Amino acid sequence: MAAEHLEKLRWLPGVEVAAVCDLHPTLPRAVADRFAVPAAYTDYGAMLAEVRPLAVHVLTPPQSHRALVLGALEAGAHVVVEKPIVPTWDEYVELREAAALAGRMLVENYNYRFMSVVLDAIALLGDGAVGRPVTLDVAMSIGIADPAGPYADRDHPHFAHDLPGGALQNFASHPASLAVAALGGFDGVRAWRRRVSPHALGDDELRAVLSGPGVGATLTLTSSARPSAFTLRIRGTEGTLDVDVYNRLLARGSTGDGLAKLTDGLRRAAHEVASTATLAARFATGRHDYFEGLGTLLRRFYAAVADGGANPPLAVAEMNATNRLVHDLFDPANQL
Amino acid sequence: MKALVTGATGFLGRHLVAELLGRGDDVTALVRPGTDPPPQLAAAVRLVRTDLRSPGAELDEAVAAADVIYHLAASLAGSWRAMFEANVAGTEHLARAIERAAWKGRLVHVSTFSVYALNQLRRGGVVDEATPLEPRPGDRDDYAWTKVLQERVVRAIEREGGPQLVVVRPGTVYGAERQFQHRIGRQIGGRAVLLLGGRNLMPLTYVENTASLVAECGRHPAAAGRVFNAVDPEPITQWRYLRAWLRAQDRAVAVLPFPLALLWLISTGLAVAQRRSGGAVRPVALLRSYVMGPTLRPLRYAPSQAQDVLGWRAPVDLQEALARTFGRASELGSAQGAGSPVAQSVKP
Repeated sequence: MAAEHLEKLRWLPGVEVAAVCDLHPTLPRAVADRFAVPAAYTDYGAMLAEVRPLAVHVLTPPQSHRALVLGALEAGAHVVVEKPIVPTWDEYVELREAAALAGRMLVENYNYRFMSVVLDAIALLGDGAVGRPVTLDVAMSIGIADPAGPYADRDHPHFAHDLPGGALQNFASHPASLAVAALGGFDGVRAWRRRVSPHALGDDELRAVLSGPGVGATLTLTSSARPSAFTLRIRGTEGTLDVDVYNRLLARGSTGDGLAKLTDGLRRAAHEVASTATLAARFATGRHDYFEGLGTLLRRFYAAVADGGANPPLAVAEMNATNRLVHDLFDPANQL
Repeated sequence: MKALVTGATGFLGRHLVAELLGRGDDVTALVRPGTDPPPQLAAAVRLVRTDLRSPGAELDEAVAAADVIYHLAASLAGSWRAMFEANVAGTEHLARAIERAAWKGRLVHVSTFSVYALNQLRRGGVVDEATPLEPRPGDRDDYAWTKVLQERVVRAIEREGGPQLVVVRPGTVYGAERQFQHRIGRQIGGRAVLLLGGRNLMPLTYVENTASLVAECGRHPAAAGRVFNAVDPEPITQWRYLRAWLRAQDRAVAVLPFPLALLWLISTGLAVAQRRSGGAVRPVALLRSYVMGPTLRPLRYAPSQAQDVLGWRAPVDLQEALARTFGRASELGSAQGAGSPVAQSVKP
């Protein structure tokens, strides 16, 4: 993800990347050359002391986040940290308290939560487009059993396998952040996970049933479903919203009877045609950006930095609820 | 001669091992623990099970015992971090093992044409061993970037009085196991090919020829300290290679020609749009002029200097190479296709 952060930062007005840091002896210099960054460090403490950054992006494996985030907060920096922010709920609480004490922003990167199509869907929900939300289904394909991918590499196991929830936990923030953004927190979670593919090094499928005040939801992470997709469907008392996150497509459906069903069908058909044209146009005009949401998040984050951190791009309560949900998904007490 | 081969189970690696065995070498193959090598390879060589990204003490022992190291291990795909670990960190680990052993043998490093500054050449320019290296590898792609960094690692240990270094830079390596080439275009669902241009020459090197050159570089006294391109002496156009590929397909494949001029126009326009939009426009790799430039630019490819310096000759000619790659039915014969001229080899 470091390359994606640096790519986005290149284009943010008023933001200067002052330094990069990595334990590897030659990587920081190579990355600094590639992205025209003036300084490269292998010593994190020295970087913080000498550069005194306004903000730090923590993009290392999650097992190292706690110490790096605490170091950045102590140095007076606001922090953007890759998901999952830390392996456990207790560590998350510690970081949240440290950020509050330091008076600095601590923002976890929920890239998809900030994609324009998701922001549009959340706005529509707020405007009552589906009436009162009743159910939500969020499902995400993940490539953790791909024999040629990094998660199934037996010779050089990915750091995600050491998380309490294994490689699944590395992705759980994505569907969890969408579910929480749409419906708020959940007070009941039942989950089960299993290993489906023989190529997977651990569990590669997670299914969960969530309950909240007046709503229910399902959450699926799977390495088996093809083609790769990330979808969110919300049914309400007056309509539905279907979000194709990867392709950034949004469809609305009504729950009308009689002729309304016919017009709804026609509207869906027109939507399919328009969606195909939209995808082709985005491809040809360079607007098919998989990391569009990261750009939006960082733009808002740095606007908040310029403002002293008073209005973070992600509300603390929402980030708390998302991390609580991720914790609950893998809590042995909640497993079926 | 005792040869240590990294990347021995890869496309070129398997052919190199066969070539070395044919020359009577005693071959040790470095194989990742999770890789199942082909039975014939496992039976013919000594296997050392370790991963260059996180090697064990086996690597030091294997290095110390070798007369020649052929370093082929590389990743062609994946995230930039994964490619960095495989191509750069892996090579650094090999370099550290060489230093620990104070090893002074010959290191044959297999690089790539991607390290050349192909975007900086004029149209019709000649690529040879004197072509400057890519000044902006990070703007090309992760493979080019990591292979440039990888060459710096092996150059550094040579400068520090380490092994005799020979660098081999292959063009587009092809063979029966790797038939379709991105320099032609892109496959669309197995039923169609988007042909990017068609008239450009391809820097092809048949895999057995590449293996022969790499093996020669491991033993020829005059190779020490040199760079050699691996490119076959009879360059052919994209279109002609595609025709051979099409004949080998067991079902009809549509060819959708895409004019290079139009691709240039689109990619140049998108580059301007990216600057003006503050990054909101982000073209896919296929539509980035600096990424696609080496494929789109009409270039010529000089024969390998190994011909003059080492007296080496590619053992397999074009007709035979295509036949071994695509089967006898796809032999080019008399170059019947209009618009598929056979180019002459170039002397710079």
